[in-house]
This record gives sequence, C-alpha cells and structure tokens, in this order.
Amino acid sequence: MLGKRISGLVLVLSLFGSLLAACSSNNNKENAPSSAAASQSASESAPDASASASPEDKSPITVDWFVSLDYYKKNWDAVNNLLDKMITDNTGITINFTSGNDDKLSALIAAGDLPDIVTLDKGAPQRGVLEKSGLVAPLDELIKQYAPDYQVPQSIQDWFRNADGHFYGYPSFFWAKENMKDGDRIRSNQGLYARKDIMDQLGIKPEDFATKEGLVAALKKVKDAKLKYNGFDVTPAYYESWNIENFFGAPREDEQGNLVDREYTPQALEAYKFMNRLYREGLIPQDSQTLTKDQVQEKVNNGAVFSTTNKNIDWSPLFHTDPNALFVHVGPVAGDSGNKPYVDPVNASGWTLTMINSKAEHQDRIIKLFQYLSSEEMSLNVNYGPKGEAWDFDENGKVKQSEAFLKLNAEDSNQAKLKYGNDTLGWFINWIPIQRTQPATVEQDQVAKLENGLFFGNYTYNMLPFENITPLGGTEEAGIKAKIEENRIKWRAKMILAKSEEAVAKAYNDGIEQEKKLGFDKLYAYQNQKYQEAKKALGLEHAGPALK
Amino acid sequence: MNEALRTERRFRPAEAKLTAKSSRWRNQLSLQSMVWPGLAFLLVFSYVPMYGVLIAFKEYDLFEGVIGSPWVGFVHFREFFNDPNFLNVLRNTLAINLLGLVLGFPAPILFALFLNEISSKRFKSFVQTVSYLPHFVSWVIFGGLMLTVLSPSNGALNGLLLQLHLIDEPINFMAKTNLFWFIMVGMEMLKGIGWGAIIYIAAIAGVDQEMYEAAKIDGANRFQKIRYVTMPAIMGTVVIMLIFAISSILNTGFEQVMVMQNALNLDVSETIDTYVYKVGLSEMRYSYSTAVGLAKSVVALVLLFGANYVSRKISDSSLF
Amino acid sequence: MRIKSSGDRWFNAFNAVLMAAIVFATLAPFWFALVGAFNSGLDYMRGSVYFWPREITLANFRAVFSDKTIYHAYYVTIARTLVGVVLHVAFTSLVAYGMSRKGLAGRKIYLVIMMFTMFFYGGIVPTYLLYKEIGLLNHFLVFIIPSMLSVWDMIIMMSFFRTIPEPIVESAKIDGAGEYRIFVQLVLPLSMPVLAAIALFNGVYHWNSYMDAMLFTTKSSLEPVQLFLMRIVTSSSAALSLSQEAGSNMPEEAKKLSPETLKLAMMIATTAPILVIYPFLQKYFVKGVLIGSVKG
Repeated sequence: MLGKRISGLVLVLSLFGSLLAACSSNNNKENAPSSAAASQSASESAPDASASASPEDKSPITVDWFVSLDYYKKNWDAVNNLLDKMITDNTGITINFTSGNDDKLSALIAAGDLPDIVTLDKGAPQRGVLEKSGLVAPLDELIKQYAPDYQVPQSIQDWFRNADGHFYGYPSFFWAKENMKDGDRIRSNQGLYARKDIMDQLGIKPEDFATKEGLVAALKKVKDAKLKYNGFDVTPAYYESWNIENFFGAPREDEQGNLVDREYTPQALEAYKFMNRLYREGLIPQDSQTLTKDQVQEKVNNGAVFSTTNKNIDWSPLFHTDPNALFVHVGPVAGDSGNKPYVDPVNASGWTLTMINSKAEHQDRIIKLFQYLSSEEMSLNVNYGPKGEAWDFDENGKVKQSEAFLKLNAEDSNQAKLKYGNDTLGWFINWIPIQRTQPATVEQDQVAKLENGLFFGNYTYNMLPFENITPLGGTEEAGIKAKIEENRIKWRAKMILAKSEEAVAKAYNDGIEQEKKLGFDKLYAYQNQKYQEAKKALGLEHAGPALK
Repeated sequence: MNEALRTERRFRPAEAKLTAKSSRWRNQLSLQSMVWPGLAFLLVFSYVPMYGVLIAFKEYDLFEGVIGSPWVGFVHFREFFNDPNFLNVLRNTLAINLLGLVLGFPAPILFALFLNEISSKRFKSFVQTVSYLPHFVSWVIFGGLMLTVLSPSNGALNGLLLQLHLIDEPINFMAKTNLFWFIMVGMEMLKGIGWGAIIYIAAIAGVDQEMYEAAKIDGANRFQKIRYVTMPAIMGTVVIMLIFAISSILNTGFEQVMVMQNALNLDVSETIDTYVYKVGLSEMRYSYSTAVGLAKSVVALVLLFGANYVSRKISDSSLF
Repeated sequence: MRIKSSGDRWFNAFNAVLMAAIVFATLAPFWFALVGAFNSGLDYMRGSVYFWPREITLANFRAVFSDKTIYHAYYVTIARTLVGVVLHVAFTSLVAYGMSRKGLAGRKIYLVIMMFTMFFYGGIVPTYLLYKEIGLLNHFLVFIIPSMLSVWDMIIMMSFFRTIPEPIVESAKIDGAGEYRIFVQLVLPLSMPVLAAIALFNGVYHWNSYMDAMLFTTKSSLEPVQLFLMRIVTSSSAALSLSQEAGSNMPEEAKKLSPETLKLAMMIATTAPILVIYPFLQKYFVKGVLIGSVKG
C-alpha cells in the first residue's frame, strides 16, 4: 500500500521533472538562436530580391513590438498570411508582436525591458513618462536622419509636439486636415433619428422635429397611437441629455476665448427642462436612466423604440427582420436661444500612438517601416488585406472586395483574418482614404446609415482643441474629472426625472454646488489652460461650434 | 523519498533509546523544518516586493520608480477621507457587507448541513454538482441575467407578480433604492452558495462515521445529531470563515456591484471598491488607489485581530 | 429497520423541495449561458433567448477554436494545472500540518507573519522586478512557483488537521513514527475531503488564471487557454466598438457572432473540463471518512 503510493509520488515527481526539462529546453531553443538561424538562411536568398526592387536595405531583421492593449494578438506569419508576407517582402522586417495592459507597460519601463516599438493609448500616463525620460526617440529627428521624404501631416506633428520641440508618436485613426479633401467629412456618433415606417404610418415629417413643440407633438402622436410592434409597446424616445444640449447650441467658448463647460450654460438647463417635460408627458420612460446600452439596443432590435439620439445603437438587426423598419435622420431640434444645433464629431486626434525605443538597434529601418505603414494604400491594405488579393479598386475608384476573400470571410471570418491579415494591424490606420473608397452598397440599411452620417456630418465642427482638455491619466485632475463625471450621472437622472420644472432648476443648482466641492474650479483652470495651449498650437483664436 | 523512509525504519530501534527531551527537540526540528520553507517562501514572494506599498505616501512616478518618487505624506489618504462622497460610499459598503454577514454567511453552512441529510447519494452529488455551476458564470453575464429577470418591461419576476395580482404595475427594481442592498446580497447568495459550501461539505465529510453511529445508539434524532455531532465538527471552519468575513467587511466585489449600478441607484450602490476604481485605478492614479487599499488593509487587519480575540473569549475556537 | 417518524418524513420532503429549488435557481443561469453560446450572435442581441436557442449555430465555438494554436494553449493550461495543483497541495499541506501541531514553537508569531501577507501586496511593478531578478520571467515556472503556497488554503487545512483527534496522532507517536511519517501516512489519508476541496479551489485558480501569463511572459508557447480566449472576446468587442467609432460597416459574418455569445461560448469551453473532472473529486466529499477503521 505504502509502496504503491510512494511509487505514484515518484511518478508524479519524475513527470514534473521531465516537464520542466522539456520547458527549459524549449526555452533555449526558442530564444535568440532560432531567429538567428532564420535570418541567416533568409539573408542568403535576400540580396538579389533587394537589388531588383529598390536600393533600400531589405535584409531580414526582426523587431519587437509591444502593444499596450491586453487583447491584441498577432503571430507574424510571412508564409501563410498575405499581409505579413507583403510587409516582410517589402521591408525585410519580421515583427514579433507582444501585448499586455498598462501595468505590463509600466513594468517594462521600470525594468528597462522596453521593446523596439511601443504602441499605447494617447491618454495613458505612460506616454508622458516615455516622452520625458528619453526612453523613446523623437520621430522628427529620425525622419530627418533616415527618411527625409516621410511626410507626416504638419497638424499631427504640431498636435503631438512636446515642450522640447519634438514629437514622439505616430497616431492611428486620426483626421488630419491636410489629408481632407472636399467632400471628406469627419463623422459623428450623435444625431437625431426616428423610425421611417412609423413616421409614414402616423403622418410625421422629419421637419416636425426641428422645433421643441413639433418634436413633442410628434412623440405624442406615437404615444397616443398606443402602437404595438411585434407585440412590444413602442416607446416614443430614448434621448441623451448632452445631445439635446448640443442641439440647443450650448456654447463651448466665451467671447474672450475662454473654455466653457457646456453644463454651465443656460442651454444646459433648458435641455434638462425639456428632457424633464418629455419625461413628465410620458414620452421618455423612467428606465431611460437605468438601462445599459445593450438593453436599449435590445429594445431597438425588438422594434420597441421610435426615436433615438445615439448613433452607436445599431439598427441592422431590426432591419434584417423588417426591411421597412429603418431609422432616418430628423430635425434636429433647435432651442430658444436661436443658436445653431451642432453635434460632436469623433476624436480627430486619434486613438493610439506608436513610438520607437531610443535604444532600438534598427532605428533607420523602423522609421522606414513607419513610413511604409503610414501610406494611404497601406491603410486600405491593413483594413481589407493586401490589394490584388483581398480587394481592388472598381471603375468608380471604390474598393471592391475579392470573391475569394468574401467567400472565406462569410464561411469563417477568423480564417480570413489568418489568411489575409485584414483588421489585424491597425496601428497606422488613417480612416480618411478608407471612408473615401468605401465599397458601394445596395443594402438599404447601409445606405441609410451612410446618408445619416453625411447629414449630421454637416453639423460637426473642429473639436480638436477640446480633445486636449482631457487630463492625462495618473494626475489629480484626472481624479477630479472622474468624480465630477460620476456625480453628473446621478445629477442628470435627478433633473430629468424631477416632479416639476422648479425641481429641475433646484437640482441643477445643487449639482453645480456639489461640483464645486469636488474641485471643479481646479479642473476648469487646468482644462482652460490646455485649451488655450491647443488653440495656440493650431493657430486658432476662437474654436468651438459656430453659433447663431 | 522511498530510500529516506526505509532509512528511518532501520534506525527505529536506536530512536527508542533516545531520552524524552532530545526526542522532543528532534520532533520540534522536524516540525520547524515543515514550516520554515513556507516562511522563506513568503519572505521572498510577499515581503520582498512589499516595498511597493510605499507609493501610497508618494507621488508615484514610473520613471523615478518606487524609491525615487517624491514623498507626499498623507495627501492621498486625506483626499479620500475628505471626499464629499466618503461617508456615502462607506455607508453603502458597510450596509452590503453587514447584510451579507447576516444573510449570506450562514447560507452555505445551512446548505451543506441540509445537503448532508439527503439520503440518496445520487441526488446528493447531483445537487452539489449543480449548485456550484454559477460560480463559473462571470459576474457580467450573471448580472446581465439578473437585470433581465428584474426588468420592468419584460422581466420574469414582474410578470409573475402581475399574474398573482400582487402588484398593479411593474416595479423598476433596479431604481428602488431601498431594495438594492438586498438584491446585491441575494445575488451573491445565489451565485456563491454551492461554491461556498464546498469547504463545509469537506469538513462534514471528515466527521468520523462512528460518532453518528454512537449518537444513533444513544437515541439521538436527526436534529440532535446535527447539533451535537456535525456542528461541533465544522465549528472550527465556521469560526475561521467568520473571522475572515468580518475582516473583509470593507470589500465588496467590484464587478458584481458595477454591473448592477445605474444612475438611479448610485446613491446606495457606490461602494469603496467601485468608487476607487472609477476615480483612482481607471484614471491610473496608482498612488491614490494604493493609499485607499492600504487604509482598507489596516482596517482589515485590526478587524481580524479583534474578531479573533472576541472569538477566543466567547468560544473555544479561534484562528490563533 | 427503524420506522421513520412523520417529522422525519416531513423534513425529508421539505429538504428535497428546498434542494430542488436550489438546483433550479443555480442551474438556470448556467443553462441560459449554455443556450446563448449555441445561439447566433445577432439573434441573441434581439433578446429573450432563454430556455432553448432560437437560431442554433456553432459559429461561436468555431470562432473560439478557429486558431489551431489553441490546442497548444490547452496543453499549457493542463500542464500548469496538474503540476501546480500537485505542488500546491503538497507544499501547503506540509506547512499547514506543521502549523497545526500545538507543540510547534513560535506558532503564533509564524501565523501572524503569514497572515500579514494576505493583506498587503506590493503591486505589479515590484513583483515584475523580483521575478526578473530570480529568472522567472518567460519561464513555465512563473505559473507554478509563486502560487505554491496560499496562506488562506493553509489556514483551511490547518483547521481541518486540528479536528483529527489527538489520541490517534499520539498513539502513532508511541509506535515510534516521526512527524513526517505521521503526516504522510496518517494525516493525509484522513484529510482527503479537505485536500480534494483545496485541489479543486487551486485547480480552478490555475485553470482560470491568465494575468500572470500576460504580465510575466511574452512567448506564445507559454500562452494558457484563458489568455487566448480572453483576447478573442475582448478583441471582438473592441473591433465592434472600433468599427462603430470609425464608422465602418459590420462585416457580414460578424453578425453571427457577438461579444456576448462569444463570451458565453468561451465560458462553456473552459468550464466543461472542470465539469468532467469534478465527479472524480466528488467521491471525497460525499463519502464520510471512517477514522475508526484507519486506526484499527
């Protein structure tokens, strides 16, 4: 009995030992030697290829690239993945991607383990540390030295330039004004939309939504009709109060050019009173303040919502069950002040920044890789997969995805990604060329979405200076901002669901008072200073939506 | 290993000759040699990196590191304690936890005791297997399901209450501030009852069957057996779990609260964990978050010693 | 045969009903999740899919298993779970046994030193620097060694060991057994229920953990399955929000998937192995231990 047990233990221990041995031998194998061997074998065949294509250095090298987003994963596969193959063929570079969260980036910085290339959110606190510490190389100097013909839009350079006169990172998903042509419009995720089928049924016109009274009358028609759609009661509206503030033309800057917080304007109070009126007349439900975005989405999918301001709610699932149930743009509603309605565009300064380690071995090659990836055509290639394989331009200059790609993508989108590399390397994406060449569509919901986007594109403004007022992570101001945001969630609900208009005004004043206690003045001083700096960098005297 | 035992056996006659004193010393040495590796382990893996808590008193700068960052004293602690929302989040945290102690803590114990009374072995193992399944469903999914069940528009609970004519119109449960704490504790019980019971079931399984036989012969009924055999046997575990539950009275799981929060219940649903996450961690304010965490740990430690002391005074069982 | 009293019968009936209610209440959320995992993503977003999938599809599971490297990730997870649990239970129970003996000099101080570590954590950066110093970074052992001892599990085991009647241990001592021998031959066999419980807790910890892999390794050969799946799920929801942010159209096939149903499929894919293993552990919970017979 005892012997049996002990031999079992020995077995487990020896198993464990062999596992460890296997792992450590794996380790040895997988470290430097393999890449060295690969580069050796590749360099034997490389010379003639580089000689024929261009005089540039295309000898095979491997660079380490850390992406500070824990979900990102890409195994470089220059054999089977067409995008990876294209990049490696054209640059000689094999990329070894690793990823992790901001904590990991902090650890890498603290331990001095920074890889050759780093991609991080532009608002991460690590950005400031990296730029100040000399751990990353100034891109402008690398460009001057190694890639003088690399054109980074001046507005991007100015925007990300540090006090030391250098800029360190290249953004993704940005909208540089130099890149915009006539007809290019920065998009918005806001707007005012209503169901076309219901409007037709009840004789409601899109123009009805242009005034407060008209909007209330339209929603009332829906309420009084006691509509049922698919057995669900149709709720007249789910609106966000800040969208209404924008429609009422709440200014973002005063005459002296100082920043204005929209919640502190008369239009904000007007918007809350209006929302409260809608609530008291039963046109927006109480649960508009409690539902998550997914739950509102579910209601929209069920066809139980007539009107909404949130464009992030996707109505395609509904359209697929009922081709008549389309959301179209209406209004937008104007306020009493006579200010023009506007909507906030998406961020123009983009999402991530990609930087180069100042101690990276192949800085010359890496900056050329940046240049290569920044081209307009590469934006299309990383979005759709390589041109010629995954897509090509049609006669109208629009993207037409290949049959082979569409077939595989429909069967198994993950396999398509592995083969074509579409949607897997977005760190240099410039969305403008993609928007310009978007494939022609015949699906009505897509057409309507496009039209809605164009319509509210007319109501956007240059929001860039306001993107600078978000405090960088890790600062005290970031904490104050989070506290105030948290307070505003409660505050808004209290005003919208108040019993009377007087109660709205009282709750409004209480909320402002509470914000002062939470440190609003300090936050405002910081934000206004950042705002002025941004305007100066952009050469603007005034910014914000053009009102009146 | 095999060899070592055999050696030990060979030397047994010699061992018997040793004096009682040196055998005690030897005994002590073998006991100490069991514990020391554990202490050494904790020294390396817990105590060495513990200097990291210093950033609670510093303005942490990643580049300067923990040691090089400038000292700021109690600034971050003051920010938290002077926050206009401090009393509110403290109240909510304590309310949810105290309710959890009263209602949630006994639930897995009772479940384990009742389960043990099931005579059909198959049914018993089936119930146990099923009961711990919700543990594997993430809070986001579980919370989402709860929100659906409680929804005023098409939720099952409102439907049931309407059918039974207990209410006239649907209740928006998640907007009822007086219900929120109960909903939270109820969810926790539902999700954790089976998983929490595992440790008690193990304790009950360890009870000597002869004790039950003896009790039966003495004519004890079912409840007397529970009272005089099972309960004493699991009391040690119960006390330890209770002491730790008390010490963690400032912790509310972060995810489960987050997923049930909305604009109308924030006044009762904001807890220390969610608040510090929002104004600290999610803004990457590491010093602030560490400071609040440190303050919580100190309170927990004090509570741990306090609860242990009280438990030692009023019952035989205690942690140390 | 004893005749059951009517009180007993009532109790049994009540107990059976109570247990059935608990079974229903705990099974329902899991069942909903299972149903969701087999439902088409777009359709699931329409809501009210509960008891049976409305549009049955394997697309979610196909997405989870589409990348063949997941099989290697399973291998890593299984290896770390097996090795990790064996070493964790062995080491923790050894320390726990030492700590459970009343004769241990310095017991109280040791316990305080140990419990202190449950409340204070130095943070990720100091931990990373420590692992770098001792060479654990990018090594399989980074999954195993730091989790070999858990003070919490140690305390649970300690309290269990204390319930073993002292006379049994004493009589073994009189027979001349040393502490190690008592531990291995007497205490461990008597403690199977708690060992099984701790093994289950620790096994689930190992099975589900991915943070250590993300923070302390960079090699895909060390990627456990949870990290793998976490990435699929978050990247699909990130892709969705990004496509909305950027204004692109949702690809056709993505309509079959949604972050929600993917998450559910992932949960099922990772829970299933635990469900298979659990019955083997369960016999230690259900069967009471016969201390008397061991003694004899």
